[in-house]
Amino acid sequence: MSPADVRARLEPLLAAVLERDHGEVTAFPASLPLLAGGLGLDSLTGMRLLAAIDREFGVDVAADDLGLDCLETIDTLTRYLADRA
Amino acid sequence: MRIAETLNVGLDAVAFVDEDPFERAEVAHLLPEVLVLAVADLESALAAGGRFAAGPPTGEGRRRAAMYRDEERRRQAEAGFAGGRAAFLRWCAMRLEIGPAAAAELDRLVELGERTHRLNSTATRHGRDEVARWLAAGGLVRARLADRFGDSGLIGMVAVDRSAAADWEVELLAVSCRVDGRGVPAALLRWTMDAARAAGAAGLRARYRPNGRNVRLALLLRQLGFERAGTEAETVVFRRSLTGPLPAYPEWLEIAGG
Repeated sequence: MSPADVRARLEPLLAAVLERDHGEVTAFPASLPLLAGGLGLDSLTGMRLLAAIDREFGVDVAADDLGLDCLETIDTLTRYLADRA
Repeated sequence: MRIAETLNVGLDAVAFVDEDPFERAEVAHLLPEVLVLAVADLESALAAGGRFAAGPPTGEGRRRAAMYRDEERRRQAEAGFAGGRAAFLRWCAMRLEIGPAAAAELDRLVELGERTHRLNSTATRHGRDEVARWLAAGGLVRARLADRFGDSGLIGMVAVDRSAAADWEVELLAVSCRVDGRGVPAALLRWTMDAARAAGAAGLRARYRPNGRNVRLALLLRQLGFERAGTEAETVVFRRSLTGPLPAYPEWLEIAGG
C-alpha cells in the first residue's frame, strides 16, 4: 500500500480516537509526534488506535513492534503500515 | 455477567443460587463457568469448601468484599457525575501514598505481582523469593491509594535495580486492575524518576515483556518519554533520560510520602 493511501485511511482512525475533526487531522504535519509532546495520545487512546489499526490494516502493531518505535510520529507510523499492509 | 464485570472477577468466581430449577438450568446452560446451586444445597456446598475455600491470605484479600462495595459506589457516582472523567477523578480526592515497601507487606506484594496482567510490565512470574530479595535490597517501592469512597490498600509496586551507577532499572511495575484508569502507574514511574535523579542516576530504564495484555504499559512508557534502548529476547528495555523536565504527576492525585 502506498504511504498516501495509508495516510488517507489512518486519518479517520486518528480523528476518532482523538475526538478531532477530520480536517484538523489532515492538516497535521507528518513529523508530529503521536505521544509525548505531540498529538497527546495516551495509554488509553493509544490502545484504541492500535485496535483500530488492527481492524483497518490487519496489522497487530503491539505484537510486531514490541518497543512501539513506529508510534514516534505520524510519518513513522504511516511508513510502517505502508510496508506491511 | 454484569455482576462479574462490575466486580472485575471471572465467571468462574461466581455462584448462582436459586430455588427455581428452570432458572438454574438456564444459567448452567448459558454460563457453564458459573457454579449453579439449589438453595437447599448451599449449606453443604459452603461446608465442603471447594470454591468457597478460605479467601486469599492477605489483609487486602480479606477486605476485598468491602472494596468491591466501595468500587460499586464509585461507579455509580461517576455515572451520575457531570463534568467529565478528569473532573470526577479530582472530586474523588485520591491520595496516593508512595514509599519503600516494608517486610510486613511481603505477602501482599507477592500476591500483586502474581495476580496482575494488564498492568504488569513483564510476562515473567516473580516468585516470593525474588520479591523478598528486592525487598531486602531496598529496591522495592509500593503505593497505597485511598479516596473519598474508601481505602483501596496496597495497589501498586515498582521493583528497581539500583546496582548500576549510571541508570536505575525498573525490573517490575505492577498495579492492581481495581484501580485501572486512575494514573497510578504514571505516578509510580514519576516517583521513581525523582528518586533515581536524587541519587545521581542519569537515566531510568524499564524492562517490558509483552504478555499479550499489557501493551498499555508500553504505551505509557512511550507517553512518559521512554524510548527503546535495546531488545533482549522477548524483553524490550526502555530508557528515559533524567535530565530536564520530568513528566507531571496525574493532576487529580495527591501524592504523599517520600
